[in-house]
Amino acid sequence: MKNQKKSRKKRGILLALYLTVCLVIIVSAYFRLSKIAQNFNTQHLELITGLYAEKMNEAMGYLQDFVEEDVKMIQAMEDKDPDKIQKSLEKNLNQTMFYNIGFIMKNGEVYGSKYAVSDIKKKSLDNLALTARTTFNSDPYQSSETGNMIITVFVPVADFSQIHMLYVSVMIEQLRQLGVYELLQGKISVHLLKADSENFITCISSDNSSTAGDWNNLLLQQKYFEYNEGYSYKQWVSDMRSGKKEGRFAAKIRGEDSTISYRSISSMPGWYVVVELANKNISNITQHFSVWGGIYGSILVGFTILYMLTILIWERRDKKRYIGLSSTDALTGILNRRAFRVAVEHELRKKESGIFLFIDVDNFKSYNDTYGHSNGDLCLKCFAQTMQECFPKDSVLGRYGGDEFVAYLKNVKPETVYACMESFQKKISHFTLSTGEVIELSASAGGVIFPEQGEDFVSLCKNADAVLYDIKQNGKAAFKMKSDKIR
Amino acid sequence: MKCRKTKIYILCMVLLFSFLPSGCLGSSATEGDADGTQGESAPVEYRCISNPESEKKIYVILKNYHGDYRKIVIEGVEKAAKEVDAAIYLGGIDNETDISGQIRLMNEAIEQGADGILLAPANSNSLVESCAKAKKKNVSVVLIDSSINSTEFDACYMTDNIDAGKMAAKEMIKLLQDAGNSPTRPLEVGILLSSDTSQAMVNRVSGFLEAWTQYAPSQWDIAKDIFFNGGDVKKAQTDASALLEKNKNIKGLYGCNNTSTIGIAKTLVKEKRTDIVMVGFDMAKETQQFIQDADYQGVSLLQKQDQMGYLGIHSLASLINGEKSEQKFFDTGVIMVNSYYLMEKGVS
Repeated sequence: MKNQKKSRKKRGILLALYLTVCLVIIVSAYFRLSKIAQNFNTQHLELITGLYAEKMNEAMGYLQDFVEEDVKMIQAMEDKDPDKIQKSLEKNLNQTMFYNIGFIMKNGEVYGSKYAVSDIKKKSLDNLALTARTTFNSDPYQSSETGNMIITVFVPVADFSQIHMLYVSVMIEQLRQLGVYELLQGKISVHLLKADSENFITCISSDNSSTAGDWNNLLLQQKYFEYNEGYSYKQWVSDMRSGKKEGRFAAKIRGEDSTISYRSISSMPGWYVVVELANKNISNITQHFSVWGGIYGSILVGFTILYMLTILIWERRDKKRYIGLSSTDALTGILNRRAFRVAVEHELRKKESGIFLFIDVDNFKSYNDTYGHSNGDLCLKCFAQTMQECFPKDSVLGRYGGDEFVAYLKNVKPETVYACMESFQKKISHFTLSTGEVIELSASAGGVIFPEQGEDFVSLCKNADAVLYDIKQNGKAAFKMKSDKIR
Repeated sequence: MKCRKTKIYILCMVLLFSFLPSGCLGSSATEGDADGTQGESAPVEYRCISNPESEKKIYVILKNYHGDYRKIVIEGVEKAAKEVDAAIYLGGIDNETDISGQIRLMNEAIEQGADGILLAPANSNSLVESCAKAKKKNVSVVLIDSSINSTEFDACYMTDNIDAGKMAAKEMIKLLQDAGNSPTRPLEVGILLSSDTSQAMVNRVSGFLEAWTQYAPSQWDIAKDIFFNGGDVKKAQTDASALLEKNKNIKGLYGCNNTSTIGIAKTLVKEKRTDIVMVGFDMAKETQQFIQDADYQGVSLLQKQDQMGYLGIHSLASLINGEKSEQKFFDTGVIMVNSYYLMEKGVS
């Protein structure tokens, strides 16, 4: 019994432990998945920033290479007439990528389309070109011809008597088109930022309210920024102005948790690509992964627990059934000898008084011989049934073996037992056989009191059996308590 | 007993299944647009100002119709109206926030068979659709004063505000030097503007900062507190006063629009801050008086809005006649107004 309790307790602890472990696994899996998703986002964001910076570098590099090729071409030209050189350059221009081409003469005269010349003069880029000795890029500016933002690259023309520098312009729109991904449409903003003035051009906007190609300024935007602890606007600007190549930080922008990544553009000194992504947009892409991972994980664990609990319940039910089968006498339906002993010992441990009875069917062998075994069995069934009817409901009843029955009546006085036995004798006295024939039946019984006449099951059994034996020797069909006269 | 166990068992399952999803999704953000409130004052309906018999119709849709600034635009429109063969219909909205009113006027112009529309867009984004609709119906569209976030127009006559901002920064540096500020001693310049939703205003700041970083001494800085007055002169005055009170290093104030400039001028006069220099935009009475006062140092950049109206109408007339404009953007330029300029022009 003690072992059973211990085992049940152990099983309970194990189940609780299992559930706790499952819960810990699910919670930690959720946080781990979220972390993985966040790292993935960060890597993704850095990749995108890198990609844009690379695209800018590539485009500017391609632009410079293109101009250098043209420089070689005009150096090789025999006809040095500027108009013919300009025509030749325009003919050679890849118009899908580039916008304008021309050159600046050593005397300051600018060649190119009338709008390109006008824009270059207005921005004083011609003066800048005359003083420059190496390749340089203009800041983005608005073309007066189309209104689009353009960048112009200037490359010196060495060993040429008339031309000082060649220039080619590219539209910011070209760069924007390189960076448009369907997956990120409306989710990501990409800006080109000039670190010294903090002016930036929006190349791609996540927000429809601002459109690509507009100038803006970081200082003006600061009222929408809320930096996380340990970082500030001052720090960011200082990092970029000191030439830091790349960086990343988190901030709330217009109340939205966002991640900002920036990287310098090597072909445009002082310029950075800044990529801004609202975390809720990250959620749309990757946090669903962790959420659904968590949901499916918990469903899986839930079903495992459900399965285990179902198995446990079935096991308990079967066990109950097996225990029932092993403790019940198959013929009479009352406890068998082993189960009776267990039940009585359990009662004795309570130290409450009771009376132990040993009952025997008188002349059972001759009934069996005369009326057959089936009637004998019927007789035993009738005996058990009558015991249940006549003894108190909480009595422990059992079949000891053959025609011997045992009973333990709790908290009763001998008088009550006598009354019960009298009723019992009366009820069994006329027994109807399966054939309809009524025969006379009787029982002999001996009783002992717990704890006075036996302190344990064995002594109670032995003493009651001795009393019964005494009755059997003295005429049967009677009941007697130990030290009592036969009644 | 059995029933109780089953209940606990079900409860455990429900808790287990409901805990994680609710935990995961608990942080989902609510989404929603935050459109600003739009003014509902009635639009100024169209009236024909010239050549009502002409078959060609040009509709002019202005913003801040009754403002001083717009009076000068109308002067330019009226001057051009006398020179072109087209019926000119003049209308507009009475402030800059009645977007729906301006859209309605656009639709009416298209429905009434306009050949051309001269539009001063109240908003860079909200008018994009209306302009596209007009272009689809072969109506020529010329913008003045500010552009839209689209290429659905034929030409745009406006101030190059980046350049204007650069000009303002150069003038600010000059005024600060003239006022005796040492390039080696730290000082700051404060910026006041109406709002950051106007691209013109943003460009004036961007241009200013571009030239400032290029030409200003390294010890001279821009104050990090930027004030937005929403077009309210009183707010601009309070902002200027608060900035001067908070930051004792301020030696110059830059007003990016009319209200900001008036606010700065009034504050400097009220507080007798003759040590502070001002660079502003546009020319209200208070700004003019400030510039003319010898005790104070200040200039204002004046847009050529009459040119916008005048050139805009001429451009539309050419477009209607089938002439295609090769150039899309035209800078109408600004005039630097200082005390000498006012003296030369004989403004009292």
